[in-house]
Amino acid sequence: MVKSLTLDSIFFNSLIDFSILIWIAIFITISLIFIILTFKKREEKKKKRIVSTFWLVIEKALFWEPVEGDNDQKSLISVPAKVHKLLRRPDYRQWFIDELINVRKNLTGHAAKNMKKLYEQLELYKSSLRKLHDLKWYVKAKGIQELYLMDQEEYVSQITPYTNHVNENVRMEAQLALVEFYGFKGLQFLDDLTQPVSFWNRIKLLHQVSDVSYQEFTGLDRWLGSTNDSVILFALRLTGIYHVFNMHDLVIECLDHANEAINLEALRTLSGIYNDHTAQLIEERYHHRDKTFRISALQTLAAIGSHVNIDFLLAEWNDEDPRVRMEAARAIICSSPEGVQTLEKTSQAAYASDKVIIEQLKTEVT
Amino acid sequence: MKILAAEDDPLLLKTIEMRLKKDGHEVITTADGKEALHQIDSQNPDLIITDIMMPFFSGLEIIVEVKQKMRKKTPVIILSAMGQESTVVEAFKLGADDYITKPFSPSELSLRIKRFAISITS
Repeated sequence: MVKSLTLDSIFFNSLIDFSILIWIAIFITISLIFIILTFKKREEKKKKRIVSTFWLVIEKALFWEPVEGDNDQKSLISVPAKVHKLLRRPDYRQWFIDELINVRKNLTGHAAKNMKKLYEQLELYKSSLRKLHDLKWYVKAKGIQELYLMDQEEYVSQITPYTNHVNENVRMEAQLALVEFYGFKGLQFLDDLTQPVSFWNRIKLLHQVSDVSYQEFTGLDRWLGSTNDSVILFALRLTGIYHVFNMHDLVIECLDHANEAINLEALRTLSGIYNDHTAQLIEERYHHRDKTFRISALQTLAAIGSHVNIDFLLAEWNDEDPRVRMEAARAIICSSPEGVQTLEKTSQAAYASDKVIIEQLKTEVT
Repeated sequence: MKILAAEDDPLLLKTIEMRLKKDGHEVITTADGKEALHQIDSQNPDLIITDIMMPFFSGLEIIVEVKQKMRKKTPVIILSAMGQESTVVEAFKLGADDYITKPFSPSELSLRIKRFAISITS
């Protein structure tokens, strides 16, 4: 009985101790949250105050014009000593760079040029260049981005080595920088690229080149024969978008590449650069390949085929795979004005899906 | 001229405000579509500059409200990003009077507004 009472009191005491500990933990957590929030709020207020000081300079720079006769643009935008003092701190300097970049991104003309001038006048490029040597990939990428967004072409030699960097984000920024500086000529980094160009990277590069006026490609033939598969994929996409007809034979060679993704991209590219022999060259390869290739080939033939391909397509219209029959039927309709009638005449009683396919394609045609 | 500028990018809004004030206009700024409509109703601006993509109400909805529901003749200039060509066409169909593609030159904006200022004051 006594023993049981002692055990109960021990249990009760430890429960009290435990609840006290919980309350202390809750108190510490709440206090910490409060301290962090107060600190953050104070930092935000401070940032707002400092950025508004920076804006006094940015405002002046937006509408600044060089003094008359200053053709070399040597006259300076006046910057108060207070701002110079603030810019000594790296974090404040970064805030200023961020503001300049955001303004420049949205503006063109004199205002944008003046943002660049201010960036150079205050030697903010030194901060961006320093970032290139940082060990963190995101700092490196930011440094490169700042340099090209501020049009610092003179530092291209320091950016170029990063086009083949192991980190995807770093090399993407460096590649975008080169295209920003030199347009199509900037793509020369593809010659020596050993790292892959990701799908997202290709989209970004295509978007970037679409902003510059078209120039003659040099290097496309080399990139189509690259040992880097992702470079070939990108070159195929460029060939298709810009209809570079003289690359036709090299694109045909890509149909026999060991990488299936390249084969399929080559088929898509041929839709934009075909000649009288293209359909025949696709047909020659057709029967030796798997179903994915065959379906893509039929889709390409739908885009480029003519009446001369009808016999080949009719044979595929009899294939036992409904997907192949569907694509063959579509290609027949696209290749001949009498396509629908031909399909109706040749549809097989054995395939109940033929009628559905023809009806579906009729709605597509109309 | 009293101009309302609606743009959700604070830096761009600030730049537009500065440019227009420098040109001697009275400027009302808003960062969202809801506030823009409220200001249009209460302040009756002579010209509206609006971004297409904004919180609460888009630039297109503002055009519909101004031109079709409020039946105002206030000129509307839309700010569009690159690649929004189809939206610009839609905006013109709804009654927009002009458009500027971002990035833009503040001087160009200034000149376009001058063109409207002449027709409003004459």
